[in-house]
Amino acid sequence: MLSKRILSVLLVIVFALVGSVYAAGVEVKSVAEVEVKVKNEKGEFEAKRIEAAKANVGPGDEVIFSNHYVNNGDQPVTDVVILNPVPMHTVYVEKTAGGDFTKIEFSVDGGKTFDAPENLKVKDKKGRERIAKAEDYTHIRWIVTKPVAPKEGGVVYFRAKIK
Amino acid sequence: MKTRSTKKVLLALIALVLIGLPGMLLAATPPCTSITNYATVNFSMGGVPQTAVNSNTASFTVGVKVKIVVTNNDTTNVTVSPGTTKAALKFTVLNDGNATNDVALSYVAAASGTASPYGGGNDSFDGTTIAIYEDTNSNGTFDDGTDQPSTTINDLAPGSSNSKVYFIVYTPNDLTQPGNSIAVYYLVAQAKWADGTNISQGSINVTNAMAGGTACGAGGTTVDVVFADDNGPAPDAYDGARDGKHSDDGAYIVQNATITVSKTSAVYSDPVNGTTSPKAIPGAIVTYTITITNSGNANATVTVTDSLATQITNGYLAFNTQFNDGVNSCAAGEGIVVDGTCKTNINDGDNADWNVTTANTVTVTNLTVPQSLSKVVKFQVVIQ
Repeated sequence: MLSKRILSVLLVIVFALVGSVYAAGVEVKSVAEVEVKVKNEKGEFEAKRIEAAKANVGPGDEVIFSNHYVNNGDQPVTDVVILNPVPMHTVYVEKTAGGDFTKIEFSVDGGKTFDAPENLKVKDKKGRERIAKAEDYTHIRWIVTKPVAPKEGGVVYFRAKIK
Repeated sequence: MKTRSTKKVLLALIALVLIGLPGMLLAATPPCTSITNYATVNFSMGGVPQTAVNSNTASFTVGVKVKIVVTNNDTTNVTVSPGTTKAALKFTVLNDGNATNDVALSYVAAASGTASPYGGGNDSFDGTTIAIYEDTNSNGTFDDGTDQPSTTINDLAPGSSNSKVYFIVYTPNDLTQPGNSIAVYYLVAQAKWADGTNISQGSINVTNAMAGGTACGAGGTTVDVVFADDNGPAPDAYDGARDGKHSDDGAYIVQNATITVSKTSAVYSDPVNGTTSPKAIPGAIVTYTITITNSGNANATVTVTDSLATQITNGYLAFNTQFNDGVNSCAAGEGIVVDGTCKTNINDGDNADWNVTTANTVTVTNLTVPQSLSKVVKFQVVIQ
């Protein structure tokens, strides 16, 4: 009796976990990489991406952050918006955000409002408005402009420099 | 008065902000800091907004960047003159890495022939009494008696607002080199861990005590340690690229007089020919011309003595007590011409005498010879 009860509790937990994934329909995986120069067989240097956690990363280095999303459900999904805060201790590198079929917007107010770079303004110490610079960005969002069919997905990415 | 002091305070505040700002902007991410990234996805299914989905958290740990930057702040060669007045080369030591470092300072005398970074010639000598001083009162200039000798910086935090001024100081009591001689010196700074131990590159277990912070933990975190310094001007044996050391150079230029003396003689007249093609016969008047030249780069005050004692004792010559060479026609009792001016033979405060200061000797004192100029002393003798 006791073992049956434990089994049923476990089953409930398993279903709950599986259920949450499938109910979501969309999964997203975040990756942090750095580009290192390695010598190829011809002795030429070429850029290779390696996981940032396995690399030697210090101040001033550029890190490539990418979010891989996939529709794991059995129906198409729409209005996909991927939101990524610029990681702490890093500064967004201008014009590095990208992703197919996306409209990219930035926030300079902690993610409250978003707009294209040319429309973003911040106030300087004297209260005067100026066009925001890349280091003012707090969040990036990618608005996917087409429906994502089942088993399909994409990748959105940006680069940030470690302070 | 009140408004003025308020203004001063305001200016000081603005200055602080201006000075402080670059340092704050530069503030590097401390070693062992974990940087994390995640994304959130919103989407709709069948036109119905669904619960947002979070990604995993991608994280990595920031390593240690070791980079000390030494900069010479002189804008020209620093003059040094013989004596006890110390001469200082000024340097700034900056921590451009991300961990607080101790710094060991040393100086290196450049090899002979090394060009001064500020022109004017090549290194040709080394001083004997050289020491490194800290800018104890932090006023940016060397103050003898206030600034103290020091060869270590304890806990130099990253950022330009934390940079320190140090001096290479030369006490020139041994200086004998001629004017315009050059001595080039390097200040070499070596980064150490904040606990004073040596740093090595690679994958290292870095503790808070080493990094001078709190992110690594007391027991430490294994991170990559990288020397990111440039190759300074000091020879590679003292400072190469990416060796945890950096250097810069400054130079001393000697301000000293360089005196040369030449003496010529010419027969001015004789009792037979007068001043026309005179010959060196008894009774002839001979003019001695002593030229003192200063080819150095500092003014000099010299004393000129010329003894006729031997010739007079032997009865060959007599001193002509009234000088006349056709150029300078002096009054009776004026037998010495200094820089075109007739001087009395007696010791009357005109800095020239004959047979007073020293027997049978011409003595000229307090004669100033400016740099790059000559002065001429003339007197005459009569052949016996």
